[in-house]
Amino acid sequence: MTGISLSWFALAWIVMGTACFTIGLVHLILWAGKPTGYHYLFFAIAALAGAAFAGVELQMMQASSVHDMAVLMRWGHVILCIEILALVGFVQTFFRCGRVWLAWTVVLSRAMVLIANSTSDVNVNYLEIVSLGTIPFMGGTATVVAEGVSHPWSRFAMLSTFIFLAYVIDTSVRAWRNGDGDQRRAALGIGGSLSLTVLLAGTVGLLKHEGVLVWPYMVTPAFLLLVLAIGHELIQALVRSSMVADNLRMRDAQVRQLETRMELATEAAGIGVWEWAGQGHSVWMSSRARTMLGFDPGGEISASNFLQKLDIPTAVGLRGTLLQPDARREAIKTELRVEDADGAVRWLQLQGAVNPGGIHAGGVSHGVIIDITPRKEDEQRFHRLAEASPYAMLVVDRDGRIVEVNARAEALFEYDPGTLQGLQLEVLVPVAQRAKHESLRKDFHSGPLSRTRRDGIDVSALTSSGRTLLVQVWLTRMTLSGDDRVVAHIIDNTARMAAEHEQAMQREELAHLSRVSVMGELSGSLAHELNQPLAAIMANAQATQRLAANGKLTSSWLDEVLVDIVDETKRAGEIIRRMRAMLRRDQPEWSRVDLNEAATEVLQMVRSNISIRLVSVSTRFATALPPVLGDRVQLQQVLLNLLLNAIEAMAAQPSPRLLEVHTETDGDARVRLSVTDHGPGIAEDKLGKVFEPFFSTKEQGLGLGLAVCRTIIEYHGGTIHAMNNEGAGATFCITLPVLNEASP
Amino acid sequence: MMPGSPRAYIVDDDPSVTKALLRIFHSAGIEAAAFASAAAFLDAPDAVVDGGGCIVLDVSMPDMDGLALQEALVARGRALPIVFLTAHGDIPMSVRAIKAGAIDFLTKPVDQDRLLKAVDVAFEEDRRQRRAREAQAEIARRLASLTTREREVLGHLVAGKLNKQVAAALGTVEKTIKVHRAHIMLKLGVRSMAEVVRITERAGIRPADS
Repeated sequence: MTGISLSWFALAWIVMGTACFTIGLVHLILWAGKPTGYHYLFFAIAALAGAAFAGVELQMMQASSVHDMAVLMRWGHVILCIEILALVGFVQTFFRCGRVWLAWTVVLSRAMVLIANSTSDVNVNYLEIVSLGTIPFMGGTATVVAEGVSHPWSRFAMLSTFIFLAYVIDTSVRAWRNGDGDQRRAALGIGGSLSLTVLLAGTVGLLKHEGVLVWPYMVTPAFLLLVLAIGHELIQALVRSSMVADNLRMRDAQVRQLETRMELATEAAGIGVWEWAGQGHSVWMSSRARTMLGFDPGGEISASNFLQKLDIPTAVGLRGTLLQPDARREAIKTELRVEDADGAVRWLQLQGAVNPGGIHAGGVSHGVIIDITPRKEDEQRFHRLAEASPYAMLVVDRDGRIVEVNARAEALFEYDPGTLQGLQLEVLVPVAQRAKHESLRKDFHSGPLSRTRRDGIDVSALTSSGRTLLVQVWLTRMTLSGDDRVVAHIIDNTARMAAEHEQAMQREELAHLSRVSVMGELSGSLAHELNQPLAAIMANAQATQRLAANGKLTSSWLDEVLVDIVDETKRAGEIIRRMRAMLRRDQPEWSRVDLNEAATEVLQMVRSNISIRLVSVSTRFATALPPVLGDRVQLQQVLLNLLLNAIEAMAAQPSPRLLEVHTETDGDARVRLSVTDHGPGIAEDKLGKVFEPFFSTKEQGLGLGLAVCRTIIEYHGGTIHAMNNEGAGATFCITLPVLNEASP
Repeated sequence: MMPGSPRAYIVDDDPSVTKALLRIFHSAGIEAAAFASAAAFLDAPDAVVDGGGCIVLDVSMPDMDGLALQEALVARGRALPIVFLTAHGDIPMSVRAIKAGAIDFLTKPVDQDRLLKAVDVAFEEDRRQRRAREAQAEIARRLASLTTREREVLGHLVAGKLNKQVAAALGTVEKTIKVHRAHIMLKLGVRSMAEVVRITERAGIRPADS
């Protein structure tokens, strides 16, 4: 090896080698900073190889012997091989789309070239270098091979170079096709410069080898161009990626800020947030959500751990929906029961939605978790209260659906446990009343929220077996678990009302019996009353007959007589009507009754009794006596009893036998009627017993009259009592409430 | 109204019944008068009822009923025959009425034939009673014309004593007694002793004790 004399080209080659070396070093350092960036490493090797090649080439240009030239050329091929292999590695790792088999073909062909190079005594270019020559070059002289014998493999080396070229072009085209913007630019820049360089170097090599060109070996400038072009691209990419990284960092910071804000907001609201991206294996949760579900604050939450917290149908549904590639939007709402470390039970509501997945494959579901323990406890408390209630209870929503029932309600309406809930309320209403009930229900629900019906509405209800019940219902409208509800408390009155009906029937029957018995006592008197008008009618008619028979009938006579007959017939009819009223057995008919009128009528009924017994009657009726509400017949029955008793009481009495009937008001709200006789009065020890059943002072009396009177008066909301007069006789006194005509 | 002709006196508290009864009597050509109560009838002047007839009386009336009026009339000696009418009678009531001299006891509504027949009977009875009362009065008048001695003799004679026994009882002779006896028969207007006995019986003169 001779010393290097500095000439222009020597200087140029040194500069180019140094440049390659520097760029190689820089990329080596870049690779050290990012060990996975293998393309830096390969490029660094290629650049360093370029630097080495520059050195070899410079020496070749100054070679002084054939042997030197041969050795240098041999080493040059070694470096070239490293260079090409490094470039293949670079292209493969940079573009990531090279055909692997083509890359291997390049590598193998180059390896074979290297073998041929090593096994040759000279190199792969020449079997023998015959002589060297010098040519003028850049103001100096450069040594070139003047004459040599070509190596048969030198063509293969050329082929190998062109395979490499094909590989580079192919890869660049693929990268261009696959990529966008920056990637295309890189494909064009790197692929273009590489191809150009290889084409240039290959062509020059070929022409020189064929002896067309007489140049020194000059691959280095091409290498430098290549290194600069690729280096430029790499630096550009580095700058870009650094910018992207900066952006990402900023975005990341923004996202974190958003997350922090959201976390704060959800924390403040006591809401946990979760998200599960479709096919991901882990679930993201806010710290509140983690605490709620009992997950560690920091650890990863696997999808299966998350699903285990849900009830099975929800979990299966959620997973199924999420795994569908075209997941539809679907709402999720479920309640979870979790126990915390202390064993305390919390109730959570997990709600959310499955959405089509955007950037994710499959769906993404996200939602919130709310602690509903207080509400749930309220519900449970309400449920326990309902179960403990002596009433049957129904809770009905705005649409009239039964949302909650207690066991009593199920038993009352004959439904199996759990089968009443969810039904429409109207199934419990007899068919004929359903439409009306529905409109009443809607009306109630549209009223003010705090609406109640505390007066116990009597309605009919239908059981599942079709039985009709008579129930009493109290209604309260309230908000339960945030929903507008009406709570109904129900009592079954069927048995009680049947009993009441029975009792009323018995009362009616007894009253009727007593009335019939009184009318029996009165029968003589009534016959008398009825016979009077009949007698008048008959006499009038027969007198007229006789006149007619004698031809003495005048029309004025006939007119008078007929008027009288009509009047008397009416009178008889009226008497019969009154008798019928007293004897009939009807339901009580509530109406407005004037006690003065009622007493006057009864006095007419007993008129002949009074006259037969030589009793004189004194009446003192209050003027403008307010009416009472009652059954006229029953009230008259009471008066009749009292009058007949009074007349009876005076039967053994010498005249005058005075009977007094008085009516008067008693305060604003009551009226009083009293019947006073002047008989012997009632023995003091029996005074308290006269209203007891089967107590009688009469030999033939059943002893029911006054007992029935008391029942009737009390049924009318009044009182009846007996007392002895200061002088002689007794007074029976009835007090009845005045009919308040203002109220319906 | 002509005095002397018999009338039906209706006593009833029911004005419509009274009116109809008046029509019956009118159609039958019987004079009738009406009273609204027992008291009204009792208080009526004697002249009104002097013509005779009968009372058509309702049993049941306030204050004073028919039976009480009947008793009162008997007590006052105003003996008119009574036809009772009742709207509702019972057997004890009718028995009591008949015993007290009622002609009939009819139940309302009454058939006019029965009523008119009863009234006829009552009128006849009234006439009979009147005749009897007149005969009685004549006998009383005649008895009143007897001297004290003649009345003593009469008492002994109706006791069935012989003239000789009468003379002995009175301390006189048989012939004197015969004269008294002739005077008595002349004054009483009878021809036999049997008639004398009948009249004195009717007049209520009791036979002298022996």
